[in-house]
Amino acid sequence: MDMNRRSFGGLALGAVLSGPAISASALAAAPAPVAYPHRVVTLVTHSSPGGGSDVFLRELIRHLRKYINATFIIENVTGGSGARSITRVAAGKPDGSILYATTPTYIYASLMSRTPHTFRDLEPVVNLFTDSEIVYTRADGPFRTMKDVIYKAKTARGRWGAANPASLERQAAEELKRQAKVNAAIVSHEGGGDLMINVLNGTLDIGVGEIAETRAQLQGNKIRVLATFNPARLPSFPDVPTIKDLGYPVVMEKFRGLAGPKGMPANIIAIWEQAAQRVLADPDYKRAYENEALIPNYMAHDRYAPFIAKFADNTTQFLKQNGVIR
Amino acid sequence: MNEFLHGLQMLVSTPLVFVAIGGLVWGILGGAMPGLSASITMALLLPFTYTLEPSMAIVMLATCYIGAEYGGSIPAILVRTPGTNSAAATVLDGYEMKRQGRAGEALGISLWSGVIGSLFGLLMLMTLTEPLSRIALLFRPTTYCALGILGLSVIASLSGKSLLKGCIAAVLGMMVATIGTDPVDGVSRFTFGTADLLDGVAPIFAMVGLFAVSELMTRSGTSGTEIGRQEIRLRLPNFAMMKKLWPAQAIGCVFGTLEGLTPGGGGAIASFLAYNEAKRWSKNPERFGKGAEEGVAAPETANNTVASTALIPLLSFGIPGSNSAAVLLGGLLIHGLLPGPRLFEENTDVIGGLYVGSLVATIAQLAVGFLILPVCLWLVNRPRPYLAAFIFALVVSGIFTLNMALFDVGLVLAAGLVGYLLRSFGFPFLPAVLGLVLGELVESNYRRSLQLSGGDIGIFLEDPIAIGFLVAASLIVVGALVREWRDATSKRKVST
Amino acid sequence: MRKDLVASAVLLLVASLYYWATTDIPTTTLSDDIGPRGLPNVLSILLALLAIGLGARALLAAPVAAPEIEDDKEKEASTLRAFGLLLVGALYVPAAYALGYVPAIFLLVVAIAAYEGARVSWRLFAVAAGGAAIFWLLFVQALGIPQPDGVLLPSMFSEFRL
Repeated sequence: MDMNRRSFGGLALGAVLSGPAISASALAAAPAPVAYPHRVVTLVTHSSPGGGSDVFLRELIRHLRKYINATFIIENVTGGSGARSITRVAAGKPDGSILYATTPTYIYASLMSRTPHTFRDLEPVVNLFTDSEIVYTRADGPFRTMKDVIYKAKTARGRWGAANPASLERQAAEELKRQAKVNAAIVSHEGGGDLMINVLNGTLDIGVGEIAETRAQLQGNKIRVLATFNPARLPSFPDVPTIKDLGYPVVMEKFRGLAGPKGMPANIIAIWEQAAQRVLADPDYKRAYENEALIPNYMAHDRYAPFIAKFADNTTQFLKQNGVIR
Repeated sequence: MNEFLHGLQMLVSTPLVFVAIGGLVWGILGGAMPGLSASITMALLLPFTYTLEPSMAIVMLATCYIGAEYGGSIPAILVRTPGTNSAAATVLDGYEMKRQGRAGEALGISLWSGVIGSLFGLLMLMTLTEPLSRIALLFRPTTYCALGILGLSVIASLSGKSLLKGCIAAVLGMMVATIGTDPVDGVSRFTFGTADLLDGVAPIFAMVGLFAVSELMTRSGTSGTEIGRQEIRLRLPNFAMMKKLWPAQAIGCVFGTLEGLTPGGGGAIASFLAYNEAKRWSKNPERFGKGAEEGVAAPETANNTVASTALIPLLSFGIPGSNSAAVLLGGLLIHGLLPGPRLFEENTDVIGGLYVGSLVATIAQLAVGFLILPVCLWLVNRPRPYLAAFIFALVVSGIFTLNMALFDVGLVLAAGLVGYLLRSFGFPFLPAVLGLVLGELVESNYRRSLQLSGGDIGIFLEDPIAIGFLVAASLIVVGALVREWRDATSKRKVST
Repeated sequence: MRKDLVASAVLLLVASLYYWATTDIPTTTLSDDIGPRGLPNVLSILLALLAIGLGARALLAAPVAAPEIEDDKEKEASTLRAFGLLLVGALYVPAAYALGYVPAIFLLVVAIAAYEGARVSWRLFAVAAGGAAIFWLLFVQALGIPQPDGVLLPSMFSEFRL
């Protein structure tokens, strides 16, 4: 079934970046972009326009064209909780003309249902970032540290929130609850905004979510960051401990990278590996992604593929253990 | 007010007027296509705004939202198909007016009510953003659950002849709402393993199927008796009519504001509640469903009010009040703008442009309506065979836009079959639509509430707003039962 | 009220099928007390009760059903007609899958208009062709929706952009 062969052309119209507006100094500093076998490269995401991965890709291609000589088009293939976008890419040619923006969603979508194609039909190419996943509470609430939160959940009953059901955040909260041996209700919501309201009005003790979804409240000092599930402390919050620092071995890596159809040639992958490293070092891009609290976490193809496989194994195990899937 | 003055200057210094009208026209066209909801229409426009100045981009998206909320009423009135979710309540009296040959009048009322709603919402946005934004924070899972129950209680007045059949239709709608990923636990329900159903059945699919497809089926082969005596002229309400409409519009403004502030239902709950209340407070409630002008005015005022008031929680917290506001949030983020209190301090051009642009669009709405509505009226007066063929073509094309899947086209045709069966067995559609729209809101928030309290239903008593909603809901239900009982006894008297 | 009795029976069947399908929903250790099966179970019972109520009312009210005299024959014909229309419309799905958007819309307009009684003449084909072109301009070109491509024909319409 390949009905979506034609790209989101009209949508892409505004996204076609053929290269004006690069300042002269940037041109002088940057080496010439590497030749690429395709004039147009389609980047597929399951996000709708304006959603998480869509915003990530749009910022990325603005800088990427300095390093790869091609025109990048973003195609939003929504629906089926992400399954449809996986099919779109898996059915594409494995020649580097089509790539997919990976996030844990593509693992979850593959595992939750019998989908025509799964993450196994895609070849992880490179990883670029780890999102900052945080535990936050309202600034004028009773919780000043993670210890307070755990203490309440030990002595009484905690009320914790995650942005979505069947998500990495939910999984992290459940594992923290298990490791800390506490009594907490873990309530899933319909997205980060819904969760934020219930944290702000005191319905929940804490929320677990991406930093990007909380930036408005962080800026207005309405919420306090208590901890991060990331493997290391966040550069923008050096005083905030990781959950691991607090003695609970729960680590969550919300990866953001690229994947292609199975069987991509090595020379194409090599171009992307090189370009990924160069774009991550680009000072303009650095400013943009640091502002979004994205943590650069470059992984080459030979490291990324096993990483995804292991991530999928862990997720499968978690979902099976809890009976979410059989 | 500073922002507003700044915005006025932008009228001459920037292409604000063109951008606002462009967004509006796009929105009306998209909203009028059955299948393209307001949020999809905005998402389609989003890429075109990348190249604009941030302030212009936001104006374009906001005016598109206004246009789409209005545009949804056009097919609701003319071909019995709500273009957007929130125009579903408009079908009842709007299409009935069209059947009576009063399409031009109905379109005029919905246009006028849309303008009133937009103006009121805009006034709220400009003057009361700060205090109103606090209301959004008062809504907890218990409150949402109660709001959903209040919405469901409206079934009583949408059921037509038989309350029992209305309830059955509502249950069927709620059953459809349970298809897809469980909102609390994330397991798949009734998806039969296919990924196509993971996101559930979008209410717009059910509506297009239930209304448009079943209408085409029912009228198949009829020569279209109502054609020929349609007036082709758009008629805005005269002064006497305006006076008659204002209470219904006031009700619409109140519910629209409330709904816009609370993330969740979009404009659909507001328009149903507004319809219900307008009927209850009307001097002639029996005219509702038979072409009452207020039956068009109340929901159309409500959903246009939502288009402006949904921006209040969005701009003050970055929390969208509807799917469409979520697209607008995406637009803000893409242009590097972060909603929140600082947006008002640091980006006066964005805020000012938004105020003035929305105002321009609201006024332009009247002019644009005058230009395009006669065309629409002319189109629906074509010979019936051609009209039916093109409505069908529009439906299958519009539905495809949501996910780009032929599966969805099949889903809509199946919904058409169900609609036809419901109709021939005398079941009303609107309770089914209501059940579908509200089922998940009620279920997920009820479960969340009990999760929070550890299974204690007493948590609802800690939430005064929820208590208020639940009391209102029970009053509506008791009132409907009393009416049903009274009707039944009086009928028995007549028959004996 | 024979119709209500039929409806009641059908709804009972729907309720039991739906209930049967709920047994397929996985139960998880992450579940809340109500769980993903909670509402579905309530709904199936509710529907069954309402359906029984409908049936009972129809039986009790049966003698009063005098004004419901309808020409059964004509009704049947129109039901057949209605289903026929749906069938013609449903052919759009395979047509779009095989031939692509523009030819499928052309065929859909011709078929439905003819079914609805338009005279099959050059005018019908001209209107359908014009309509397909307008739809293509509107959806593919203006709105930028990649409407379906046919698997049999080369994608000549949706690939091409103005």
